[in-house]
Amino acid sequence: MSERVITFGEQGELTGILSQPAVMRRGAPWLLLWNTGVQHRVGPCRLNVQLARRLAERGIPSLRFDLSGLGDSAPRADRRSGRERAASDARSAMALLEQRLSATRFAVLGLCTGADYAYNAAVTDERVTAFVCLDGLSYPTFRFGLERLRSFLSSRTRILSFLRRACGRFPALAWRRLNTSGSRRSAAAVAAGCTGSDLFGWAPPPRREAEEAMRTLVQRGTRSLWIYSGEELALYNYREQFRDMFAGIEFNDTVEVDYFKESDHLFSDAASRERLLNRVCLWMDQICPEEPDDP
Amino acid sequence: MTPLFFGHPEEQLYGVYHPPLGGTTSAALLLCYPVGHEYMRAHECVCRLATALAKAGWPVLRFDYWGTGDSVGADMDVTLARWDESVCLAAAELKDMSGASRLSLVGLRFGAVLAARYATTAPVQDLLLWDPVVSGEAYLDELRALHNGRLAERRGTPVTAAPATPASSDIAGSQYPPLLREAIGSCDLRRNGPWCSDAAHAVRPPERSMLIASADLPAYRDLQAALPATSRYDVCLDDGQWNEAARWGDPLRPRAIPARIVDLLKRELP
Repeated sequence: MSERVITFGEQGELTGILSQPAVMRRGAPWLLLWNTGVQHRVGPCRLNVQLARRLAERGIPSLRFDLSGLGDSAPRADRRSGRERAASDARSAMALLEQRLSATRFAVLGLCTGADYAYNAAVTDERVTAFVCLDGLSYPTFRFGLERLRSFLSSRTRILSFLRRACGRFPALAWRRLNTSGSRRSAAAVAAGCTGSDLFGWAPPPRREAEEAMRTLVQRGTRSLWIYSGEELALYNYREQFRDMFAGIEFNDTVEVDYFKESDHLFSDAASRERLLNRVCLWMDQICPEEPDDP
Repeated sequence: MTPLFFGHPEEQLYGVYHPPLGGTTSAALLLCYPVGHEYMRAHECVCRLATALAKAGWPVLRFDYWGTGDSVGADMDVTLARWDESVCLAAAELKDMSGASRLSLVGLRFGAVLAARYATTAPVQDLLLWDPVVSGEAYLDELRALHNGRLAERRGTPVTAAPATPASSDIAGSQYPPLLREAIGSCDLRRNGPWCSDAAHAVRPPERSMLIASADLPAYRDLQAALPATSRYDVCLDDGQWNEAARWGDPLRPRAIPARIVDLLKRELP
């Protein structure tokens, strides 16, 4: 396994690290890894670095890089939204790997806002044949509402706090808050710097648009792995929520979903991180099942 | 700005060299990041500081220690000696790249400890300590309190993370194996800094020492008392809540202190 620094982009504004295996696995996609919110490319608790090195040991190459304006990458002169900039940066990364390293297939992994950018890259670019979203898209479902209600009712403290701070004298407002808070990032995500910034904010696409995009991805055969942590309870609060969110879609084994209920949003404890790394590595093995080339 | 790997070919360290823009100085500046989760929180502001210092005419290098960021090494294998060696290698790389004859160091949080340790082994012109970790033992306690505060926020939901105790290695999202904890615990800038006359150091203490803090804390006043009389202690009220549970994954964005550091160095350095 070897790593080297690379700069690329229209003006050489993007900075990343190539992790290349000693023996590349036949058919393996290049994995793109990038920022979580505004954190730089190494990932929370060094997640991206550890993942890149483990995958390289398994014959899978990767490029972890900072999106423009983050970490060691310079900002772009234009005033495009975070979503547009991320898509453009992803295209720059793929062009670099195609031209210099003859890459033909790509996978993308992101956490939080980075997950939404990964999803967007897959939707907008057919070269992305697989993607991993960690605490990515979520939409409330009927059972999600019930779980929220159950969670409230099981905690006297929450009820009192809710009544005191949120609803005041207006029960209707309380009900609205209960049912709309799922469309916002939780306090943990805010703490991770994932929202609240003009530059890097992201509003998830309307559900209907996401459903349409998921259908397109299934038709293309794009593989995806969705892992949700247990800290985003205001967004995702039961294992089957993803299937319920997209209940009308037949995924034909292109989608895998996991719920790490005991993990926090940044997978910060060693056990959670280890479980996550193993899960992603095994999934990457599945999507490139060929044996390594002979040296 | 030039990102690069440097050091031993099999043990590469990652760094970013900021060449001086405009005027040149005879000194080069080495920036030492914090460690653990504070490294992530500080990354953005250290980048900004490096850019500002390069604009002011200094060659600057910021870099990741062994086992941190993009540098080689697994978190569980980190030792204080490896971090010390990383600082030495980075100092040599900076001198080589810049051609500067003299070196000054700016260290943030535990990076201040590493910068001060380097100054006990090699000549350093100026040593600037920004919100330094004064006592390693107190620092480990702070990290454990942060870790346990985060767990308390998730009370009522199942978690895999265990509470941090003095025997824990997995603290606040980073690994602190036993030897590293022991070594960090033995660090105390008041007792074993390069300016301490009773310590057996190989070189003369830094020509100037500066302490800049985001709050006037008793530990900083104690440290000031241990510093040479010619040193400066500046309190510059700024964002310095390094270990606040609610914001632990959020980048800290101090603005006033980086500007003050540039001003101070402009005044103090030739």
